[in-house]
Amino acid sequence: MLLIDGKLATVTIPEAVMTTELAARLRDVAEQLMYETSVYVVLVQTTPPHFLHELVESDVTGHYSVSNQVTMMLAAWSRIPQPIIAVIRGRCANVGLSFASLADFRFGTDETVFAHDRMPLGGVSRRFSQLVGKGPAMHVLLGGHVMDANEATMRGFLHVENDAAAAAMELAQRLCKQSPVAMNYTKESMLRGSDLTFQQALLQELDLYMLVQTSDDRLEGVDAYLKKRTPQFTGE
Amino acid sequence: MGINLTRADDILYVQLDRIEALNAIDAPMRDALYEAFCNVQDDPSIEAIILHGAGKGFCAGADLAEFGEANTVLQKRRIRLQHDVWEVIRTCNKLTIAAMHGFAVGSGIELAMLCDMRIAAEKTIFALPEAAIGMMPAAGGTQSLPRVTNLSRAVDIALTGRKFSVNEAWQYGIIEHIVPQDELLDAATAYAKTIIQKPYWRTVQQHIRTSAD
Repeated sequence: MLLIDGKLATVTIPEAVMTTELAARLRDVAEQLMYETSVYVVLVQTTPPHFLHELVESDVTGHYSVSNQVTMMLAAWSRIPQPIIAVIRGRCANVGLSFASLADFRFGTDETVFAHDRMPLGGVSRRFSQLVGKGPAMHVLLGGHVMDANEATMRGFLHVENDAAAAAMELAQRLCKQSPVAMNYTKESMLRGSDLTFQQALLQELDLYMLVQTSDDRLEGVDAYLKKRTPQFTGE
Repeated sequence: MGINLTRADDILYVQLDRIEALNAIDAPMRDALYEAFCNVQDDPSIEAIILHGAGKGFCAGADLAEFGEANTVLQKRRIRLQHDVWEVIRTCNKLTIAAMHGFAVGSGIELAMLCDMRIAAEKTIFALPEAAIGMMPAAGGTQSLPRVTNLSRAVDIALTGRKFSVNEAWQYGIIEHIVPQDELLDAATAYAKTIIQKPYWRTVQQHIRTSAD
């Protein structure tokens, strides 16, 4: 499921239906990626022609229920510091939408659709509304609206490409040349700040910026810019 | 100083003027902006501030040539909190409008996003390129951009550092008007006057400013 090739980690989800077992495997992958400082970018794709869109219920309740396992898996993915790029083909619904909302970039085709018709899991109510706006999020999560690729593109939620996988890979390779320190801290600032008041968020941005100032990557980036050469980032 | 202040009736025009550095923001310009925005808040005869740039564009961002000079990180943080120009602009008790042309890059677009409204000339180019040079936006960009547009587009723009056009900026909700460059200041002035003649504009401004919280 997880393939690490240099600075890029590719996660290939073998099924479109979420089970307890799949949730556990995806959670393990997320927890591994959190510690892989050599990985700059995470690319997620699925083997089936559809993205995750259903969840298999079980008789188990409480901690070991599918819902709880999925929630813990999504929480683990939300802690991944690196940029996440998702290739989303076909139908992306329910737990799939929760998962897709944790990605930082989404690539799909004209046939990609987003839908939701069950109890939201993993903070999708909040995250999806931050990503597309409160009204459209309410329309999908409660109103039963199916957001097609055109609308998702218009709202900035999706990049539509004829070859979504190739476009996602192209972006992944481009991001792998950037500073992971800069990308991770920028991502952290934006995502955490979205849950704070503007003033609190600005103070958080300042503190994260000051941490980035102490990095070798920042010195390398500025030096390369001033000398008009290509920077060589190390992530230190 | 790096800025020019002129006044017409109840509008103050703040022009970024470091043409030789494409109006890149250095410490003297930051200090001048801080002083200007602090002073104007005590002047009841000014209702609106229009920020604009001299020369080829609005602002090329922070002046990287001064990076690495003096000051430890702790000193930089203390100075920033003591003279927080971005917070003074964001909370200014006047109507603030950024009128942009040419380019608004890095701290340039961040400065504009701290204003209440943004107008741009045709062909203006925008970008937040910090991540590509090992840095991150630090003039409020990681917070203002998601609030001005949405998180999807903000993350895309900030992590890729890609340039985007004035039409895209309008589509994303980052700017309200696109005008010919030779009409930019007139359009910004007319827009400001339209707003400040409404007796309730301050109330609405405050409600909208805090609505994202």
